Amino acid sequence: MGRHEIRLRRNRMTSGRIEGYKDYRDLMNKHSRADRLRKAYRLSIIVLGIIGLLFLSYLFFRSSEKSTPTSGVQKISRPGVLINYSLNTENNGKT
Amino acid sequence: MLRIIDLNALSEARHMTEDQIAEEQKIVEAAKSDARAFAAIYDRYFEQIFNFILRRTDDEALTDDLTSQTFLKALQSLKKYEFRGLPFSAWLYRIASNEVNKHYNKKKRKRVFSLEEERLFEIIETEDGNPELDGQINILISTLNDLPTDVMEVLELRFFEERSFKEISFILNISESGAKMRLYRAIEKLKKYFTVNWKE
Repeated sequence: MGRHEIRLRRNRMTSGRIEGYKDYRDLMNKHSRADRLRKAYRLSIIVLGIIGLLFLSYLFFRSSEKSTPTSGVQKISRPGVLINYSLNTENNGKT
Repeated sequence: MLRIIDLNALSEARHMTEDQIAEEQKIVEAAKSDARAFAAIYDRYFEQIFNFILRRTDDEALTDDLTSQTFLKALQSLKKYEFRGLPFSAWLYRIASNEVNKHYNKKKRKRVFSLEEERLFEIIETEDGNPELDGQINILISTLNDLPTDVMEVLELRFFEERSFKEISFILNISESGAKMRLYRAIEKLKKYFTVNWKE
C-alpha cells in the first residue's frame, strides 16, 4: 500500500479550459474584503490596548492616591490624656 | 524487452534569464505598492499553478479553490516577499504546495499525484520502437506508487513542473542536496525496472 496514489489523466487540461477558471475580479474583491477585515482587527487591537493602558493607569493613580496621607501631621488620639495637661497657662509659659 | 525511460526530455528546467527575473521583480515591486499591478503576475502564472495543483489533487473544483487561495495568500503577503534570485513563480509554488498539504492534513486523505498519460508516453520508449505502453506504464505507476511521498514530490517538481533544484529546495523548504538526494533515490528505484536515460 503506497503512501500516495498515482493516477493517470487521459486528457491534459487545455489552456482555454483553465482560462475559464481565471477570475481576477473575484480575487481582488476577496483581497479588499480581507484587507478591510485585517484593518478592522488591527484597529480593534489598538483600541483595546489603549483602553487597557487607560484602565491600568487609572488603577495606578487610584492606589497611589489611597496610600498618600491627606495632611503632613499625623493625628494620634490618646484616650485619657488631656490636651491641656502639659500646657502652662498660669504664667504665659514663663517658668 | 528493455524498457527505457528518457527523463532528459523532461529535465530541461524552465530557466529564466537573469534579465527576465529582474524584469519580473520590477512588476512584483510595483505590485507591492499597487495591488492592481498584480494582474500581470496572475495572468502569467495562473495556468502553471492551476496545473500544479491539479496534478496534486485530480479535482478541478478543488484546484480552482486552492489556486484562488494561493493567489490570495500571495497578494496578502506580497509585502513580506523577499527577492532571493529565484523566479517569483517559486514563491507561488511554495504557497500552492503549502495549501495542498494543508488540505490533505485537514481532510486526512491519501495524497494524489495525477499525471497526464501523454506526458508519460513522452518519456517511455522501447529499444525496438514498438512500445507496449500499457504494460510499461503500469509498471511505472506501481514503481512510483512505491516511492515515498517526499521523493515523489521532488520527482514531480523536477520532471513535470520542470523546476530547478534550487527552486525545488525553496518550494519544499529543504536543502538543495536533500532535494538531489531524494531524486537520486527515485532514479535508483526506477533503474530496477527500466533503463533510465538521465544526466543531470
